Amino acid sequence: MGTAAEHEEKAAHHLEFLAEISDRYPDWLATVAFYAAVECVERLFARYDIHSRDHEDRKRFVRQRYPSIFGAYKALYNASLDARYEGRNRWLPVEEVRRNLIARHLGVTGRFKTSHREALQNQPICCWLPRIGVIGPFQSTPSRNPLTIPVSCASPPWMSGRCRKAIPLDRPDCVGGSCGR
Amino acid sequence: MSLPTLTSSTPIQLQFTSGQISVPLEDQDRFVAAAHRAVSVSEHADSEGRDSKLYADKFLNPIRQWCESHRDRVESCYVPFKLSNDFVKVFVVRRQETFDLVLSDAISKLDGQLIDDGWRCDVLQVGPGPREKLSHRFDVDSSFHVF
Repeated sequence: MGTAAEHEEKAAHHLEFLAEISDRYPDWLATVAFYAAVECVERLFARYDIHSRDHEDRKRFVRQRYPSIFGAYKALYNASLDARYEGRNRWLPVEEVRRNLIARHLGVTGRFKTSHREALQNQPICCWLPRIGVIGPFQSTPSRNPLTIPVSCASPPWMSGRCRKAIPLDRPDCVGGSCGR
Repeated sequence: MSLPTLTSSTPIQLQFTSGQISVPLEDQDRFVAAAHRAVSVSEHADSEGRDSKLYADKFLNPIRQWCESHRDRVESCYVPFKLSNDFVKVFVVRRQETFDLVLSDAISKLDGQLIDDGWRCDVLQVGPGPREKLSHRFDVDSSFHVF
């Protein structure tokens, strides 16, 4: 059970290690990517003083609290189990690990965590949404994914009044703190 | 009252006919016990004696239907009798050797739906293989063969 800051630090540590792992170890890439995601979601949970006791428990919390990242988190979880318990001939090719597990799924989880961190600094949602997008060394351009903030995440007390609705991350009219809603 | 033992020498073959599940007579005690355990950790825990029906209709049946609609990627599916960390595990045996990213997205949807429906479960894909190989990942012989 750690604090939000400790999970933040661990997530950064895992991402740093991930960047060091060579293409010869797709199994370790998949495994470390999952544990980076674990720290990302634990960082989110710590904000609400939630501490999961095991992988299944954590996965259920993710579904209940952050459904928009459930698919990404779940894929990382299952792929890391595969990497650890299946034979070498069954590992995902390293290109697939980097493209799908790290850039896509870990990218989604990390961006979501980052977006919440910025929100916790009391910035209005319409200011921080368009800026989400950079995670570690794997994705160097801001995301233009038309993702939406799920309703269950759109009403914590720190959100400003007029931006409570789920809105696309890439809404151009949200730039500059005025989303027009 | 003690519940029947949850061990078996082979997976229990469930028969699905028009949405109804048939359990072999000699395995019905184990089915009832497994249903009780699955329901007792779920949000349906106050089902008052309807454990087996709930387990069959709201848990196993949706899994079976999902497997049928993904049969091009799913070779088989097993649900162990025993809980793992108070969760019901569901093992989907994929057809392809390597981790199936397309199937992974579909499994996430199924898993999420079951959680939303109040079940405390964890749906996972595993690589294909004979029973001995699958046994490295879970106890095949103490499972329901759902698909």
